[in-house]
Amino acid sequence: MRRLNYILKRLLQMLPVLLVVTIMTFLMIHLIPGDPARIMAGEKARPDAVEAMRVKLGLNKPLWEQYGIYLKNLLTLDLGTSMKFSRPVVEMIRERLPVTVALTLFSTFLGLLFALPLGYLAGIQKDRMADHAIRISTLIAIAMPSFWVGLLLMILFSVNHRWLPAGGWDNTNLFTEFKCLILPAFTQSLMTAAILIRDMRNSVVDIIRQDYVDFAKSKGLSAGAVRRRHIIRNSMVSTVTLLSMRMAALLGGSVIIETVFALPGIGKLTYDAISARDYTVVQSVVFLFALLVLVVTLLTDILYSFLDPRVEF
Amino acid sequence: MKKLLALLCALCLLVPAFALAEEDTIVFGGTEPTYLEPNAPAIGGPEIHAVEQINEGLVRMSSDGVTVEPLLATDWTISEDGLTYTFNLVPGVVFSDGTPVKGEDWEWSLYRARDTETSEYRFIAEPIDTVEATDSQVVITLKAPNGAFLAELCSFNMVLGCKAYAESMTEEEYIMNPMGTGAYMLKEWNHGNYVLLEKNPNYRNADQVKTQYIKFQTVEDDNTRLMQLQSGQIDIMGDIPASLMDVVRNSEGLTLETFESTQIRYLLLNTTIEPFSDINVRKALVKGINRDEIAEVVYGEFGGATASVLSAAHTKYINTDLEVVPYDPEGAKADLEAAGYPDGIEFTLYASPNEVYQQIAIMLQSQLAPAGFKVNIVTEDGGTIYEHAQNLELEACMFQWSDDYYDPSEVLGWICDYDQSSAWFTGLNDVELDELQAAALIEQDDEKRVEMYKELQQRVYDNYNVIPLFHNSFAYAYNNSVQGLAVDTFSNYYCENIFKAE
Repeated sequence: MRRLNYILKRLLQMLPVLLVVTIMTFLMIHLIPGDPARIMAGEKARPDAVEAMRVKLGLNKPLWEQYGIYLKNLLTLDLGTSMKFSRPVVEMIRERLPVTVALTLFSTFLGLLFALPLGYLAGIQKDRMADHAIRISTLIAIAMPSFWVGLLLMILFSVNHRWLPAGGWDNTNLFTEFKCLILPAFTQSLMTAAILIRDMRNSVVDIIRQDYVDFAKSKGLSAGAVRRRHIIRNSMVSTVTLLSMRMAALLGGSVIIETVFALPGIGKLTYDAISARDYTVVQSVVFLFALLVLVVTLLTDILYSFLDPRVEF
Repeated sequence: MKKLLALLCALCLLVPAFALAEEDTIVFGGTEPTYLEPNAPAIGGPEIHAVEQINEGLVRMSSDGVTVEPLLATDWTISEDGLTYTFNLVPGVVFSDGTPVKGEDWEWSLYRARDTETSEYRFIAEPIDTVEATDSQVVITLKAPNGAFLAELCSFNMVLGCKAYAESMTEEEYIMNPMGTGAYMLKEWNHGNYVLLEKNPNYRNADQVKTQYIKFQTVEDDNTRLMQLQSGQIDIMGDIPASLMDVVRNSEGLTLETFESTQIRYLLLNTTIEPFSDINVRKALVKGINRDEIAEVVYGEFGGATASVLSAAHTKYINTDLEVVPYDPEGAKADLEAAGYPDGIEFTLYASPNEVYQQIAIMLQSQLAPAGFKVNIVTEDGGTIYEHAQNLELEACMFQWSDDYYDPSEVLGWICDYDQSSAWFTGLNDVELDELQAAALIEQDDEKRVEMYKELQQRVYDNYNVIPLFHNSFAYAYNNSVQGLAVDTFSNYYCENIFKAE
């Protein structure tokens, strides 16, 4: 019951946050220089064509009226029509979202696959060879720009060996789609893994010195049980927070990864929409992701109570 | 976990790495089109390349880039007063869905080109007064004689669409689902990913079309596109940036083709505000620019300095008497002193983040320094610069121009006509220049017309407001197995004879 109340309270708190998000995105995209009517009409369009475009897009109305229309549409769950592509924004997001979600899940999975064992290993081997090697590797992984890693991987796996596609989204079937995701997901997972490893290591270093770990050992629990029940589980609390934040960021789509690997995802869509001053798309995507971040944060907070029974609402 | 990994690895090895471009499909890699109809807003290369395979006009530019050749017209006559153009049509042409072409389709299409309010290129159809068509003949009457009209009819937006088909749907649907009489028709548009064209079974020369599908794959990053070409995922890559041309040339199995494009980069000086309101300052500035060096650094062997504002594609119209002003920083400094600026001049140059403009800006900065010009470079995105330049708020900025058809009237109209573009954002309101430009457009005597355009180039040259910096080649590359692709100097792709050899 208390948990339910807490969730309801948190959901209500989201409303003002979302309202502020709509105002901020609306103002930001409208106030940056660049005339959308000109961009949509084209560089060689004569002034009368640009004016016709402005009227068609409703950009000749006062700013507050445009905001009112946007808010009204949002309340009726109508995200509007893309200014540039003349297509419903919902449809565009629906086409792009699966790619980004799949990429995010896959790269998070890979990230965890590297991070959990390596982070734990570095923690229990503190200041030994393995720890140093892992820490230096994470530094390198964080420092390498992802577009560069992506290109290198493509040269190796696509151009030299032709094992995997050099980017692109082959939607023939699930397997071809999976193959298209391997390189970008791996590239993206490097950064996730590096961040998680460093966090996990620090948590493990802290936790193995705790009294309850010594106590668990002294009461005769096996090393495996101590590791599972006491060390790993406790060190997961901060790792989960970090992971949720990272996932929320990745769901927003990585412009760089999606551009380098020619993936039709949300990041690329957002980037193109900002460049083209496609107000409706930018506003909708930003709003949706603000909502998503709020939901992910809420879910994380709920997850804490399962990971750590001491957390109460 | 180990089992899962092993399974994944095994799967990866079992299945062929990735779908190589198939034999009956030719894959172009490039930017995704926004719409697929030539009268939609903001049409550029990606849209045109697809549209040209779907829609056809009365005439088209032949692949030499100079001669107008018949397409859906067999022949034509022009009345003596230059106002009436009569085209006889190829008989029996049908649209890709089998509907026969009617006279009303021609009337609807050409009026659509002229009257679609938000069309970027409707100015090309503006000379048209009336269109009267039967099923065998199209008669176009112009508002005033126009020496460029036949060339304008070759443009990608002066094409035939099906009236009944277009009217059976909304405008928004139509601009994404065009239908024409061309060699290919739209099969599928997977937004964000690819546009697939299929051979038109009702095309009048269908037996000559050798390739079943043409696919325009969206791959925007140049490096990725090149790797896809190298790995065989795509067959043809257009718009190769200068920095990658050598890499492509040295890649095994690939052919690099370059051609003299109509693209020129220009420096525009705002004559309505200081310091460039003074023609002597503009003249001094030109002396302080080393165009050869800029062309060499930015495009190497694929570029060259240019003196005329016209591209080489305009052959007979080019004023060959004009010469590139030699680099003379000392002379420029002396001129600047004589103009009343002994301490030199400081000005702001706006450049978009594009690699080419950044390079040009930095070179101008260093070349102009010894001439007494201190150049502050401000980087803003292209759209922003365009807006400010249009409002005549910038001291100096850079833009490019590529021609859409073989006639100098388009670019010279843009540069000279104050009403069109404030003399290309330089604010120079030269009434004589304006009048000469208008007269050249309607001149019927070809020789006189050529002379008038040469005169116009000389005048722009002497005004020092629009300064052509350099021209450059365009490049495209393809897999050696691809044959029969022709590309003209205006970047039109002729795909009806394209095929993949065994």
